[in-house]
Amino acid sequence: MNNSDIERSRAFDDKINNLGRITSIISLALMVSVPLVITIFNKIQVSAGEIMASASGLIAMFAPMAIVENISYYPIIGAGGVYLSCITGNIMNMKLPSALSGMKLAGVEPGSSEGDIISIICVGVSSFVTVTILMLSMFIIGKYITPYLSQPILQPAFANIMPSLLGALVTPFVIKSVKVSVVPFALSIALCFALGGGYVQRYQSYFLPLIMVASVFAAYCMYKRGMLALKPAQGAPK
Amino acid sequence: MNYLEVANSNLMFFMCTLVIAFVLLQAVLFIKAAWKRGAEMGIEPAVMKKAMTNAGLFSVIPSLPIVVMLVVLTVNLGQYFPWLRLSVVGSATYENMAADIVAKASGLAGIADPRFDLQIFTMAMWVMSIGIIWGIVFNIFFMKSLDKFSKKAKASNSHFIPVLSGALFIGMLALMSAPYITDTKNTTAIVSFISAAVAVILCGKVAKASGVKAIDEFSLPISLIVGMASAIVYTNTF
Repeated sequence: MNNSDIERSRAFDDKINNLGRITSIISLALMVSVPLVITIFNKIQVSAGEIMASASGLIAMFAPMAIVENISYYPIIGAGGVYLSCITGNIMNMKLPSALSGMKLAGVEPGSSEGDIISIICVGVSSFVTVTILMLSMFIIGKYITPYLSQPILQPAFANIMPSLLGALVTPFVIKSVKVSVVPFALSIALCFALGGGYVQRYQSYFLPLIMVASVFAAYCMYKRGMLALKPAQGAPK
Repeated sequence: MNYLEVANSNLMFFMCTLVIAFVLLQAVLFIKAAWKRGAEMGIEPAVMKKAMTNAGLFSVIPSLPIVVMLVVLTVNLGQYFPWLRLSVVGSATYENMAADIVAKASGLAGIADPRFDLQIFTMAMWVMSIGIIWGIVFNIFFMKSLDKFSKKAKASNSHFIPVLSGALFIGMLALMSAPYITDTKNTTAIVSFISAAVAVILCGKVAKASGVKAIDEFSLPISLIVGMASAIVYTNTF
């Protein structure tokens, strides 16, 4: 990478961060404006104290989770991917898998500059699709397809989206990097047996940094000992 | 005044549409910026298009349970607000939980309680809106610094970076998968996980053998459906 490349890449990072910040501020203001406008326009009496009392439990639960999750997602889908996916949510079951599979398809590594580009595209498209489907559902198809979607025979399918998704997602990566996978899988499985899978799932956000750090540490040790076959670092300055 | 009159009012529709329109605009702006930078970096437009199609197709399936939740929430919260909430940050579980907390705090049995009125509805709107915005708040204040800091670290450690991001997301996927693969009480989840894993491997093999690349390109949506379908078959046979 020569100087002008570095400059361009920096300019793009700045652009994404500025775009991310500005659009996040506007989205946030708009989201809060919905209850605000409704409250004022309909002259509804609500007490801020009572709202905070109900919200505080949720905030205490979701604020630390959000911080841990965003820091964990960042190395995988990049700043742009995180800005976008935080606005539309459904990160674990939709945004992250679309981005990962997009990167696999494009043959680029998560965390590389190319990976970040593909992530933004995939997360953006994924947001678009969900919003469009919900829009159509609200206006037209919701009434018609819900009876079909809530058929008892389909329930096991919807109840098992996550394990299916994970099986499809995890396998190619594990096959590609068996050595790196050993420690995080062994640890996660041990945690589930020791504490129960339900408990691990409930506090997933708090176990996440632990497993990620352990996984990186193990990979680092293997890397230092030359146990990992090195491919040329994609996207990194050459 | 019945709260559903407010919930289904034109003003509510207008406010919700405003937010959703902005969210879509944000996705477009990000995709455009990424596409431009991707082309500049020499990523083939065909590759970016493939990633887009894959992300779009894949996202349809995990969106379907959200449609069902939309219809469920609509019964008690009116047509538009659930549409907004499920299109932005919220997840189905969160919205239900948040609304329920407010209803219970007001001494009701839940959101389906006939005493659910305009005041409680408005409070629920507030709580649902502010309970889960913390990922966005984090991004506004800290994402730029995190990005700058890690880009610097990357520049000085270019060879270890692909290993690092690999270890990070394998760690994340391992922690998410473990509760499903260790849950011996819910064997359906294990069956789905394994079926999807086998399907994704087969997709790769079949694509290579037949030369039909599309099978590999759409291996994620295909395997997801295989995993979900096997859950239906398994539950109905055993």
